[in-house]
This record gives sequence, structure tokens and C-alpha cells, in this order.
Amino acid sequence: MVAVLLALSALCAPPPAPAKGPPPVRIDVVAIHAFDEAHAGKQYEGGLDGMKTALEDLPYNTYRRLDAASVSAPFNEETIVPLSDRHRLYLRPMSKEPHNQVRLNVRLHMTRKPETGRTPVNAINTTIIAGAGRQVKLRGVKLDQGELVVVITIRSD
Amino acid sequence: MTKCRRMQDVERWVDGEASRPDAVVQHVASCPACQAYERRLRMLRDGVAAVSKTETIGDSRFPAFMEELRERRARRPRWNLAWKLLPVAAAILIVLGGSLYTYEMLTVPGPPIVESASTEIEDGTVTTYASDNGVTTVWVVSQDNDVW
Repeated sequence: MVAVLLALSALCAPPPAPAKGPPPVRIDVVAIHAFDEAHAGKQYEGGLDGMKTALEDLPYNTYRRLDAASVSAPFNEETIVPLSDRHRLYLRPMSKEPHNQVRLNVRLHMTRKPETGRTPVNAINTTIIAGAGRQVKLRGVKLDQGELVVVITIRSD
Repeated sequence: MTKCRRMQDVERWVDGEASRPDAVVQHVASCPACQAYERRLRMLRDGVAAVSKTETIGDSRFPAFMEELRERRARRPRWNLAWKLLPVAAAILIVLGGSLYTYEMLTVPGPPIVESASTEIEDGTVTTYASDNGVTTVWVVSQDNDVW
């Protein structure tokens, strides 16, 4: 009898409300092709003047914007940002941290040139803890005669 | 000014102290000197009265006067207290502001922290560094140019 009552109460109970997690994290992504050209001084193309600070330690003299995106990345889900025909960025916010910081997993996924015959890889797989307004720069992935540089900025809520 | 021996009587009359005011009035009416003297005396008296208008608080008005005085004194300290508290409030604000600034400086996170970083590129390594400008860099390095 008790078991029947329990079963009935379970059936009549309202469905549990979906857990309300923290709001998605707003992230700005700028993909840049950094390379050298025959000119003096550093040249920032495609409105990259605002990125000078993040790029100032790189040894190239030309910076060209490949792509820019502002995404809203939900926690514990991967948000994909295409950067070029061979590069994609995966963003997965993992947890909120003290002082309004976010633990964020970032994967820079790369398909190889067909002639290499090699499988796609995560060129960079990193987990960072960053606060609003802070920037992380991914670099080192070769692109043509230069590098692919990705600047990630966590935006405030 | 022409003198008249009854000028003293005119003075007493103007002051309201004449023993026979009718006689003085009759004399002044017929004596140009005393008429002029009377005019001078009255001008002088009016002038003094105009200057010295000190309000005298009589016994009947004194309680009300004191009550008003008490009300004024009761009102004044509020402003005095506010002015006295002004430096204290300023000091509190400075201390609070300083504390908040210190708290912000101590708690505002610095450059992003890299918990982990790796690469699947053969022969590749990953290094990380934080610049003075607050940007954290994750850098993959490989000697093999064919892997890209």
C-alpha cells in the first residue's frame, strides 16, 4: 500500500525544474595572420590597431585580420568558432571562479595540408582561468609564411 | 540766533515739563526767536529719536522673547554639528576609499593563469608566458614544418 502511494505521489509530482546554471560567458575571438613583408615598421591591417598591445611581442611586421567573432559560450558546452578553412577554435567554459573569473578550456583544432597525409590534431589544448577584460593569445601555429595568432578576450557579464 | 529770556520755558514745554504750557504757547506765538528755537528743539528731538530706536523688551514680551531665543539656539547646533562632522565624514570617506582601492588591488585578478597546456602535434611543445601588459600567451613550438 505504501509502495503504491509512493508511486502515485511520484507520478503526480511536477517535473523537476531544469537546473539554472551560470549565464554563458561572452568571449571575443580575433584570428590574425602574422607574417613579414618588405616594409619598415609594424603594420596592422583590418582594424587591428586595438590589438597592438597583445601583439607587440611578436617578431612580425604585418598583422592581417582573418576573422573576428563575439560568442556567447554556455558552461560545459563546446562553442565552435571557425577561424580559417583549416583551423577551428573550441571554447568550453568549465566553471566560475572567484573574483568573477572563468575556467575556460580552449582547443585550437587544425586539419593538415592534404599533402602531409596526417590526421587533424589539437594544435593547442589549454585550460585557463581568466577574468573579465583579460586576454589570452595563442600562437605558434604556422600559417603560410607566418603564424596564426588567436587573441581571446573574456568579456564582463 | 536771537536770544529770548523765555527760551528755557520753551525747552521745558517741548520736553513736556512746562508748569504753565498755555502761557508758553501764547508767548511762542508772538516771539519769532522762540518760534525758531522751538523748531530747532523739535528737529533735534526727532533726530535723536530716529537714531536711537533700540527695541526694549518689556516684561510682558520677555517670555516670548526667551522662547524665540531658545528656538534659535536649538536650531543652530544642527548646522554647527554638521560642520563639525564634515571632517569626520571626509576622513571616513578617505579611509573607505583607500580600503576599497587596496581591496581591489589585492583581489583583482592578474593575467590569465594557464592551468594546463598541451599539443597533439608530433615533436611539438607548448610554452606559456605572461607579459607585463597582462596578456597571457600559449605558444606551440615545433621544429617540423611539414606537420602544418
